[in-house]
Amino acid sequence: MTQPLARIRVFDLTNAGVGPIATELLAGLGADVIKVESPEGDVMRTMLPRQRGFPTAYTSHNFNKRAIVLDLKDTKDRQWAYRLLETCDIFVENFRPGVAKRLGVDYESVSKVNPRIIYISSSAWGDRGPMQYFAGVDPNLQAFSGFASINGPEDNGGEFHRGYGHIDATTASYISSAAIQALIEREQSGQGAHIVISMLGCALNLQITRLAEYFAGEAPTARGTAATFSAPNQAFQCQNHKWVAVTVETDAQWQALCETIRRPDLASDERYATNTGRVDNREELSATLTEIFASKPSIWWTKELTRLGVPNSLFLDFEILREHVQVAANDMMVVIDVPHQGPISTSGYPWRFSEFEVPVLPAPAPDQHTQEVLASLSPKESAETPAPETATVEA
Amino acid sequence: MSGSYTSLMLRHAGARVIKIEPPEGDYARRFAITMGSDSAVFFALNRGKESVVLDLTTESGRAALRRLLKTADVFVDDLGPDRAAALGLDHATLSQDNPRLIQASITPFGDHGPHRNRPGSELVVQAAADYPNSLGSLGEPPRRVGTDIGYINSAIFLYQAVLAAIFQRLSTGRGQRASVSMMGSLIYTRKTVWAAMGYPDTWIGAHTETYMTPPTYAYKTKDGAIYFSLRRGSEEQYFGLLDALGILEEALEDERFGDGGRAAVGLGPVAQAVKPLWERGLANLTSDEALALIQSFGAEGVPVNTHASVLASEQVAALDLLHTVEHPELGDVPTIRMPWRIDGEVPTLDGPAPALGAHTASVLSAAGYSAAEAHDLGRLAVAG
Repeated sequence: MTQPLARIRVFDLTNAGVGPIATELLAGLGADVIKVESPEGDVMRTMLPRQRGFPTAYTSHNFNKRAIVLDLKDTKDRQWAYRLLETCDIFVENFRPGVAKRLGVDYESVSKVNPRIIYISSSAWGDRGPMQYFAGVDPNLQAFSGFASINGPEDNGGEFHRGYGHIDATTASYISSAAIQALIEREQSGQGAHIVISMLGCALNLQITRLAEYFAGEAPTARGTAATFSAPNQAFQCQNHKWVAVTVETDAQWQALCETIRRPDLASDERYATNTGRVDNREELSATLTEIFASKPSIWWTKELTRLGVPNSLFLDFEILREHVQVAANDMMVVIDVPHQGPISTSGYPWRFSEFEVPVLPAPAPDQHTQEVLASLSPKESAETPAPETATVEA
Repeated sequence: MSGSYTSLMLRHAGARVIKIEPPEGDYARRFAITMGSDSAVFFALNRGKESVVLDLTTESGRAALRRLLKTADVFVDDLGPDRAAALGLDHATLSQDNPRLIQASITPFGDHGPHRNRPGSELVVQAAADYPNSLGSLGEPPRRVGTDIGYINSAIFLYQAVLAAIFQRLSTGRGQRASVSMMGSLIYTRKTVWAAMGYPDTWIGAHTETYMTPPTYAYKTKDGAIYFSLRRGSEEQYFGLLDALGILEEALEDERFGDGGRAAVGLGPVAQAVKPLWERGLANLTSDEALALIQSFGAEGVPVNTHASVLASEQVAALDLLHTVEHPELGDVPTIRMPWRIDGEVPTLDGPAPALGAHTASVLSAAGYSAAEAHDLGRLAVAG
């Protein structure tokens, strides 16, 4: 069977992290995603590091797409954009409020060209309120949404998650979900839709479990590796200095842990019989377990925990994961040969389906498909196919 | 937790959601931090659903579930591939009775491979998927991301997979199986890091250096903390800001503050190293004063919020992200709304989470069980 979005075309006018990952998800489900860049290009073209002179971040966010360049400030290019929009089902932009209107691609203009369009506006702070025009890089969202306040050791007031934007990626997955939901609704109604998504809303939804605890009167705090809602549920250091993550969420897992550590006295200790009891007495329990785990190497603990069914893991990193048997068996990481860059390490898509394959296809170079896409649009007198610009690759 | 959030999203989109629970109930009901009789987490993730108790260790319980699935559109499960097959709840079996059924399965570590039946958890999957390397320092005790990204991000991906299968079914008339793993989800969201670390020309940039970078904290002010960046200001404004903070002279002598401050704030490579000087400048200002000053020089900042302060913010109110629902024991309680507005409307979901088995009788009766049979299944379940 073909992929579910095989007849769906996406006009992707997004930049940086959020929007491009959102449309890359749609591309994985078969949509024809056309990445439309301004002549200056996606800001990702300036990111480091590079591979064969070209930024890996641009490639990472644009698998399975086609890439074209249109200058929406130019009247002729804007007409090309409208003709392309006539053939599209979904339009995604992540400008600050007001910019799309200046470029002639606000919802009102686009829906006039194509009334069935599903138009998605994604921004950091939404389309209203005192912060709507503020910048929206991921750390700002981590700070403002409370996300950072519960990371880190117990006493530091909150640590930022570094290395890449997790709230970016989360917002991306909400955007692509909203797009497919709107496609389903369009089949019934025949109508397009205007969807506005904020990173702030996504950051709060991502924290639904911690917010639930806050609403219940227990404001979550940073607590190292320990969980709020069950115990023991934290990392322990083993005799060989490696750390192992151990989780007990059910009474059966608690019994299995007691068997792992050969402590029947703990298994029958009434203070620890229920999750509530284990959480209420977590400090004492944690101290006991810390001492026990330090007495044998991690290879013993991971074997025993796994044998007895207690959720556990060592702390892994990229070097291990890229060779990991489970990662390979499920295509969680793949290496894709990108013509202008060579082999690129990336993630496989997060879903698998029984009726179709989910391929990861090379990301384009900027401007690679301008001529091809424009030539495919029905000819009109006034517009000529522009000559493709040379891809801007910053060395 | 993942499956519960996936079906909560379906409920937000208008689906009727019937939650099948074992006789002792979803173990998430017994998590710590309660809202009424059940955990706060259970309440948040299961609002608006119906609860039916079935004991899937018995043949009659499994038969009742299979009967319910004959008329279902979507079956969300976290049984694991081998257990689902052993219980006769795999898609190959279920689709014989209902070819339109979409089965959406969530696992910790994936459907295939030697770890496919291994149990997981939020912490365990974060540890396995490299996340603690984005926090803390080498050689120090590991840290986790405080919120439940493994549970929630995988749930969003599973929701998306369900939607894709529903969309495809509109044209094919057939269901299918979709599956998502927590580990695969967290590996997907970290993709920028893999591309940077795979085969780069040089070892440079925030995506490659995350393992070695020291922990990133906000900037302390007189009464709290802020985070800011200089992306939009001019060089003149930058010097103006340094001057207003009383740190211009020292900054001019320090080349790390050069180039318009690009390296010295935000995600800049020396931002954490030069933070003490910024904090000296900010020490006499409240967060509000500091943010106003920073904004007046063309830069942008935000306060570092706790959950209390973000939820009290004007921006959250403007976006209408909070919604009050009635809890049967506690009266009005706040909840969070979906992050989107569709044609001007934010979806609203009323209703509390169901009591265990509250809908067993009504759902089974509607499925054709006599009142006595429904009663027996319920009683069996309660005894189970």
